[in-house]
Amino acid sequence: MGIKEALESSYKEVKTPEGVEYRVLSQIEKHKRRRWMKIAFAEMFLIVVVASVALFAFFKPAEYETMGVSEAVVKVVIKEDISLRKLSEELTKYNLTIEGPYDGSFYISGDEEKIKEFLEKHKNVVAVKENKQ
Amino acid sequence: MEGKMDEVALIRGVAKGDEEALKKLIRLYKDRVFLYVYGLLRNYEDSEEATAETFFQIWRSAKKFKGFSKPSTWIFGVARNVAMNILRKRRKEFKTFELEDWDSPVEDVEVPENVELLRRAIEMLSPAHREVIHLAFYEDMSYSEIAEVLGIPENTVKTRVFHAKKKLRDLVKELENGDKGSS
Repeated sequence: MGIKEALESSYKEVKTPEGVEYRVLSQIEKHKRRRWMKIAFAEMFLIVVVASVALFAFFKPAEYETMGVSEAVVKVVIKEDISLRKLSEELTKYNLTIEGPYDGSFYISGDEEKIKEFLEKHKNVVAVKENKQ
Repeated sequence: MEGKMDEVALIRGVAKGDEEALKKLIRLYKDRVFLYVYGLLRNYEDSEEATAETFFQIWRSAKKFKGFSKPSTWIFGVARNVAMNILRKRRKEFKTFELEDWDSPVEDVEVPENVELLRRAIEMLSPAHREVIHLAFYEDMSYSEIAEVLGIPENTVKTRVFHAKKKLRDLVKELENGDKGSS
């Protein structure tokens, strides 16, 4: 019992602080603010990264044309004796490629519509059966 | 028991972010926490900082309170960790008496009742001894509760309290003799 009384008497002289509540609440506010800032910074960083990737993808020069679902391969024969180089250059204008010869025939590949357009304009190149798609 | 339930509800409230519950908890415990950390730190400003930091840590970790221990035990445990961190920062050694503790017999030590001499003797105790004396006699904690706060085995607490009381008795004797000698 004596010890408890002695402790109580000793602590009577110690004035407990008044501003603990205020101090704790301001510490919590500061903590919350810091946490929000961290989240906001992380979000901003993410937005910047996504925007950069999107911009890069938008402005990046295309390395190749995507053919999509309309890509086709058409077997053709060349009716007249024309320069393959010239033919190849013509095909490039249509974004088409040519392979061959395989037993006297060639394969033109690329967008189906472009192939049709090309064949209509170049009557010396004729599509033959065995259309691979 | 009802008080304990209220305090559990307050901690649960704090865990949910209820500021009013935190304010109530601060009002309930701030003096007790302050006196406890003051006993460890022996510095007013540091103790004030430790008290505020304790409640801030309680606010942050209230979700971890499962209710297995008494709220007071948990709160004093948090306060102790905070005080120890401050002590570590100060790079002062907080000497404990673990080695002296473990092989000593536990008997009851008669402590003189002279409040004034006891008060002076308590001031002269080491922080580790003062801490167990505070928890055992001022906070009326059981050995198991003190063990929980301190994070040490119950037997170590028993022997530490035994040594603290013995030291207290010796110091009171010394003070008595000193007072007699000077008069």
